[in-house]
Amino acid sequence: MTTLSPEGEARAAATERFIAEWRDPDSWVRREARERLAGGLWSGPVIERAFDVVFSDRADETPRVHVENWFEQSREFARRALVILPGNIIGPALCAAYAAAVTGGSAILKAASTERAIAEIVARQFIAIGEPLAGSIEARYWPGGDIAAEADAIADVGAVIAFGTDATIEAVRARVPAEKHFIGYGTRYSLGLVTAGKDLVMAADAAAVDVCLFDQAGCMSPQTIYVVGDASRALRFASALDGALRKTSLQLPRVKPTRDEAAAANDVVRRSYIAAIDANSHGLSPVLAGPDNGGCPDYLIVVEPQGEPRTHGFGRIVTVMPLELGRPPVITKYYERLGVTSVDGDTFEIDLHRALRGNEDRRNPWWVELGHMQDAGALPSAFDFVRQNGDAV
Amino acid sequence: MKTTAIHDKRDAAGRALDAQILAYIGGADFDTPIRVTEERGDSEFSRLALDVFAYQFERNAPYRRYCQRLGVEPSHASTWRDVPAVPAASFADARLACFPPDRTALTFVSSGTGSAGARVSRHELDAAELYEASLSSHYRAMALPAVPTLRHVFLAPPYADEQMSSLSFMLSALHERFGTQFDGFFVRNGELDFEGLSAALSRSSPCIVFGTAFAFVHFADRCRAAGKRFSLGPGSAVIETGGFKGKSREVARDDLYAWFEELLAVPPQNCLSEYGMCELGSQWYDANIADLYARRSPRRHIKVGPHWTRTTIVDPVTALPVAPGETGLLQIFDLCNRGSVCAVLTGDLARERDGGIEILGRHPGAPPKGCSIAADAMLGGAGA
Repeated sequence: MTTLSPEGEARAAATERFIAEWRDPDSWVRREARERLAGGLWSGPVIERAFDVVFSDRADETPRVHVENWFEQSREFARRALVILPGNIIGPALCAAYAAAVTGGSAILKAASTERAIAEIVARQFIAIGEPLAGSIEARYWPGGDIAAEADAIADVGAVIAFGTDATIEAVRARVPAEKHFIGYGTRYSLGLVTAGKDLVMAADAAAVDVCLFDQAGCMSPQTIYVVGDASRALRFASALDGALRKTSLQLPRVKPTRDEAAAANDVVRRSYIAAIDANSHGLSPVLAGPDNGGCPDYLIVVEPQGEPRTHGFGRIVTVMPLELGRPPVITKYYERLGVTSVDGDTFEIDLHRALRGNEDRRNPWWVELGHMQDAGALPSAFDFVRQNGDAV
Repeated sequence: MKTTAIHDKRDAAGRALDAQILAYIGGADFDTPIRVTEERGDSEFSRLALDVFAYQFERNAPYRRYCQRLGVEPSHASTWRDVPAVPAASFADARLACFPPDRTALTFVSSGTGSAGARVSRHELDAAELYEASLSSHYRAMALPAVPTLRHVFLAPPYADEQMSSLSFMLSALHERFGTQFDGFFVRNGELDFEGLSAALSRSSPCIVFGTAFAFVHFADRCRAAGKRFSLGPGSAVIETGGFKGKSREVARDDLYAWFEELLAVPPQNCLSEYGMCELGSQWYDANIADLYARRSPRRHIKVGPHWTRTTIVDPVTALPVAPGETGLLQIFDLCNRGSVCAVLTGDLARERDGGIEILGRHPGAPPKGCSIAADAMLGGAGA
């Protein structure tokens, strides 16, 4: 059992309560979030599933361990950060609050226009939990382009943590004074890897959950799934994924897309007729579209020739590519997560290193099991809330 | 490098089709501008369009696969309207050419602007003859109806510097055909040569200033910083093209034209916008100068294409034609795309108006999602 100071004990207990409430479907935070997110970007079952898994990597004792590792070791370096949240995944708001809690830091959570509920609920939750968390999370919102409001928030913190495209991250960074620390989480995507010898139906069932959870719009969604083997194995996986998505979509339905999104999806459908492999010899279709949803397919699977990852980032659109180990490796610029069919006692690392190569700006990917790619939000981390060597504030 | 130095690598079938298309265009006599109001029968256009469709279906494997997946074959098509249009972005997905790679004489590319994994569009040509005839004929009709030559000042690099740029090829070809010895290109290595440009704009003879919108923004900034203004001679015109592509701040078209009047003394009725892309062999220009020359009331911001093209406005979701005047995606049939695919569905919104088309900007596509949405909102919608 971890030994903590009295302050650490209080902090660990409060953090455990914070997590427990988000895990409990009947808690007031879940009930309020459910009500306020209804009619938005995701269906009810998707929202429930997202809350169920967001802290799935934290065991009961994890908050105590993290408080010991961070608050007890470096509380004097804990800082206040402005977190500019993404709009359609829920993990970062909760992860930022968790990171502030276990470090002794605090945060201004700047909500996106499309999802303003979670930050506000977390701020009130911290007040309801009481000391030592009360008041350490503040929810703010300002409309796009309100530079004065942004400057006010930046003046109040030691660090800015922003989620966005690479270009917009740079734009925000340019407005942060040099003496403040800036952490940007830019354009990212994730990949799937179906290793040799794995059952394709089981792999497809797992992948379907990852695809459905945030409609392929999050950076942990598997935009391209590589199937080790030749084109016929990729086609067989795509066929299995078609069945799996049909089934999983009943449990995790997609909301009706906007007209612009439907138009963009149909553009991808048309492009897929050219980009897809020529599969006449296999008798399996390289383009598989789900039932109509608002004028476009509910999902789309396209089998393309082996190549660099294809990222669409919306509409449950999945690209499947064969990954033949004898060919030159595929260059993947950067991926956030790699979902593999199994991470234990498998040959996936061999497949990975022989077949996929990141370029110089790829950091170590986070390998998880296919079917669990959306579990456990990780960013921002406790590391982001603690001053490091060389940081002024 | 002169644009006329491009090797002709066509085979007999390609050359024969091009000859028919050139005849339809009106030959290569650029001394007499083609009348933009000239009535051309749809049946003649359709006959030629269907011949080219059959040729492309036979020789362009990705396009054939596309048509087959849509269930359309040449024997099913009775007019140009039945020919399947490929999304312009598909030029980044496959090599859409009717000839083998060793017959490629010219390659134009445009960079993708999408998310990670965006690909580069490539448009390959087996000869320059058709492309040059198209760009020259329509330019003469729309921008230069009164005189056969005029001094040109370009705010873009020449073809010799940018051999994968369709815009640079077009401007160099215009310089070679319609320019004078006093022409100049004033963007080199991505930099605006402001001193050289200032000297060219200080000459008394009239000229056409043709450049990208973002180059004009940089030009205006430099003028303001230096306190400079120019007064171009009567009969001068300004042509802008290409949007901003993140290379400068965005400026509304009317503001840009007000700058042209303020900084160059060229009134808005002598300013044009050109619409083109590397995936197309032809261009569209605002109608106002051609209208003035034809003694018609000048139309503002209405683009007219050459008679060897057809446009259709289609619903962004269904890709079916919309009612006249309604907004939708611009779909183009361009006979000058003989070597690739003639029917192209662009990502641009447009509507039919006053006998032409009004371009209304890019279709927004899927709303920004995921991790990008917060920062995009922070930029007031102007983010990537």
